[in-house]
Amino acid sequence: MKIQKIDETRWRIPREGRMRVDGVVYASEVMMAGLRSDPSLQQVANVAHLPGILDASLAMPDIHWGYGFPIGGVAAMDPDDGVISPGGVGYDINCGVRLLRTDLDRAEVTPVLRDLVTRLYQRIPTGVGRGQKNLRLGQTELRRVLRDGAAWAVAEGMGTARDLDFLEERGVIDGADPDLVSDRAYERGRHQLGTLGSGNHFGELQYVDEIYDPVAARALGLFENGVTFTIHCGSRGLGHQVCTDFLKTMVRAAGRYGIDLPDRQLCCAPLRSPEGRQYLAAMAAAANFAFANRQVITDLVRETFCEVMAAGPKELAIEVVYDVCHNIAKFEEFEGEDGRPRRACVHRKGATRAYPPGHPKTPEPYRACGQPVLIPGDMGRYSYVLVGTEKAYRQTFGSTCHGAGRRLSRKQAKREARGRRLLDEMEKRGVIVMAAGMSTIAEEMPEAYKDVAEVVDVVEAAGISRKVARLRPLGVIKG
Amino acid sequence: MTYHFLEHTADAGIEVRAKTLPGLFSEALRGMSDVIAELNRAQGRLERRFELAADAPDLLLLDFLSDALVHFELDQELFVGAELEISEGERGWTLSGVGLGERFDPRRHPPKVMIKAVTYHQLCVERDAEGWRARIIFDI
Repeated sequence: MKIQKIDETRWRIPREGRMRVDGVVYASEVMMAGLRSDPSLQQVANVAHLPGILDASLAMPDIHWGYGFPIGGVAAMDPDDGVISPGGVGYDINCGVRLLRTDLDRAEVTPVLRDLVTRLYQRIPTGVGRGQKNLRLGQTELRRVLRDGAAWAVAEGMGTARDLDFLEERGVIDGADPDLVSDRAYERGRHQLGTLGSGNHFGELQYVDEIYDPVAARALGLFENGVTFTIHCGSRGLGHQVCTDFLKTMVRAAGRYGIDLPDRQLCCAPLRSPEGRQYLAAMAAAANFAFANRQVITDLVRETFCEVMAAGPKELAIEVVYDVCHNIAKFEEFEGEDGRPRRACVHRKGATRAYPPGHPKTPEPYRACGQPVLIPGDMGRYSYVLVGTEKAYRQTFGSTCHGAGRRLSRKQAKREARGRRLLDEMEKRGVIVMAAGMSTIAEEMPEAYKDVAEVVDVVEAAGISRKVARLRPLGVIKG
Repeated sequence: MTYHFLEHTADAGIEVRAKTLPGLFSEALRGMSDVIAELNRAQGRLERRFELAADAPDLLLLDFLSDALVHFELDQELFVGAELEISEGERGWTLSGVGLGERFDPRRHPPKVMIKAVTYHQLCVERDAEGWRARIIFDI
């Protein structure tokens, strides 16, 4: 495959064959050396085949081999001629990250750390086959969740009205139609609200160990050694089923609309077609389930903190810093090069929105610094809080990276973990890990991931995000 | 009949071989369960009926495994194989038969990782001189 260097952080896969635009990959020289033989670059080129794709098929520096779209892929579609692809969102619709901050100092939680992690692990269901015993919803209630998203949970007493101001899209995607979600998806979602799931999903107790931008950190409520909690999960079985159902529709639709694709997983339909519109409305419903899921988990985290610290929620000041979607497609407004407004349907498949300072969709207290971007790393090292920039708005449809990206396959990771005492190793690093299965710990061990610092350094050097703070793990709960 | 796990950076996959198409589907089902949990001599005590139709054998396999995955999630059914009849007719490919397994018990079948979905990526069901082979990538 032909790859041309554009500058220190960008590489072009030139348009050829039936590609409609170039591919552009954000990566350092070292990263690109490793990527050249990786199937993910072919996936960037494949996405460039989609009708109506604008500017370029983009990939962030945490790019890795996905199914259909690469993980780390961004594709913006023309609202009139473009397509919508369920594979460009992924099975875990609105998988995302929420960061909570507290007024607690690390020294205050150290004496109760094990108790805190244990109780979080007991209260928040994780792992294969684990549902929520205390929150099983009937059809009518679940329909409200799909329509109202995080606001449903707040109305039920799980959270505050203030929480909603600090969520991407205020925790609800417009246009959701609960009627377009199949019975089977409802059935799968019924007992899964308020659960983390398995794989790379987690809850993580952290502290702020480094601040890069003190002004922005203050605006976000972050201070050195301040305790934070990150939630990473999505729409669970309900979202997986919505995607599975619509892929079946789209495989047929792509044929009917004469869309020729290099990979069936990219199947799609025009945004203006009935299939396209229906998928968007069902996807929004599943995305709203995910927002509600993270809101319910937030409530469980607050309860647990209050119980263990024997203090009230106001005293601990457990507030939402922000909540981002990293598997989503939605219509957003941009400014074209001529300064005129430009609308696009942006697919972010393992990529995060990164709006600049001053953007009206950014919560008012953050407007001077930009929209927070939450980038989890692996469970042993660190995670980052960034903010969006003007350059991202103009160059990447307001998008940036979403995580570290895997280095080892799950199989390789298990091979390398054989004979090691991973839980003890993590404790020596100062991290208490509690997981439903040892297999997950092996697959998700720190060495299985690339160093997230390298990813973050590339997006900062490229000017599409800015570093605000780094968080280090104290305790991790996993599936 | 055999299956083995594939190397995939973020997700997981299996490659399956069998003499017959029903054998291939049965082995693929067992392989998928082996991604989710340790099978540890799990038996085919429980039966789940499957009746499916699709335009092509690979799409039929995807639907079959996707259905089985839902039964794992909703009914805690861990399948170790299947007894199926698969045929090609005027209206495409049809499958009829039972999945065999037992109730998932995390103590007896230590969980590995949950599969979110069965993907179309690199999905193939092919016939060759030795019988049938399939390749399936799962979203983890």
